[in-house]
Amino acid sequence: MTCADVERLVDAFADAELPAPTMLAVARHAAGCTACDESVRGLQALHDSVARVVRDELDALDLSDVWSAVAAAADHVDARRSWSRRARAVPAAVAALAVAAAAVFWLQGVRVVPTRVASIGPPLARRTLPNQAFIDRLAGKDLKLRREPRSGTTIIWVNAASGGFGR
Amino acid sequence: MNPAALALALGAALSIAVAGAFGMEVQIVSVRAAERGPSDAELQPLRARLRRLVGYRSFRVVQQERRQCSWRNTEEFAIPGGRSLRVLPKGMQDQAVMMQVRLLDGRRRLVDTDIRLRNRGTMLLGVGRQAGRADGALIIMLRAEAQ
Repeated sequence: MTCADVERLVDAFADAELPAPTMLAVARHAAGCTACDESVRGLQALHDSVARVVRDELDALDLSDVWSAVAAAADHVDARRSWSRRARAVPAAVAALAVAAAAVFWLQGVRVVPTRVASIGPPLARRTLPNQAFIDRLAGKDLKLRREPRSGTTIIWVNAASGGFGR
Repeated sequence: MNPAALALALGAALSIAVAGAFGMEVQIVSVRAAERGPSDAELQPLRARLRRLVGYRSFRVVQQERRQCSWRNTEEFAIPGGRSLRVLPKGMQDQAVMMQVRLLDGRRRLVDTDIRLRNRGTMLLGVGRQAGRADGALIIMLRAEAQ
């Protein structure tokens, strides 16, 4: 092992990346060569200094909120996956039925609008039938109420014997 | 008293009296409904409607009466079979005549009702068993016309 070999291998020696026999050969040469020993010690001091700085930076990091944020994000992802799983679990026929029901509901809603508009018409009195009658109060025994739709004719029927027709 | 105010008061009183005098005209037509037989010519236009309402086929007028009634005065009409119809005109509302109508069998009230009937409209009262019975039924037609 020569000084030129150590100079070429010193970086890998400081990082302990060399095979054990080569590491041992570099160490034996540096122990007997002042120049190579200073080169190895200087490089190791730089390595230690960098490692300490990195360690200090890591220690200064505040990771206390990291896990709560990660947990919240994980829950959100789980929820989305749950809905997608449920949607996938619904049979195709049920999904089609739901879509059809929604379509019918929507069409009904569209149809309701003109019905409401149509109800805003002339006052009720002008549209009443010729014999329209409103029963505000009705008392009696065994009564039936019937109404003829065309004219609005109302009959109050008493279920009793007709009682004859003489005066 | 101021003559103008006196004239105004007299005019108002006269108006109230005239309004009270001209109440409404009530027409009561009693009709016998039967399963078979001819119908009166005057009831022919109503025959289909009556048939739908009461189920009988033959309709004949038994009695009719037309009477002028004043507001808030009860009028009693005799009905065949010893019954009576009491009509109490109460007033007008939205082109409808408000009245109380009572059908009495002696002192027994068969029907007691408050109705609003369209002016010049007709309503019916029926007394009888179900359609198809041999004894038929009595139909009372009540027409009200406010002046």
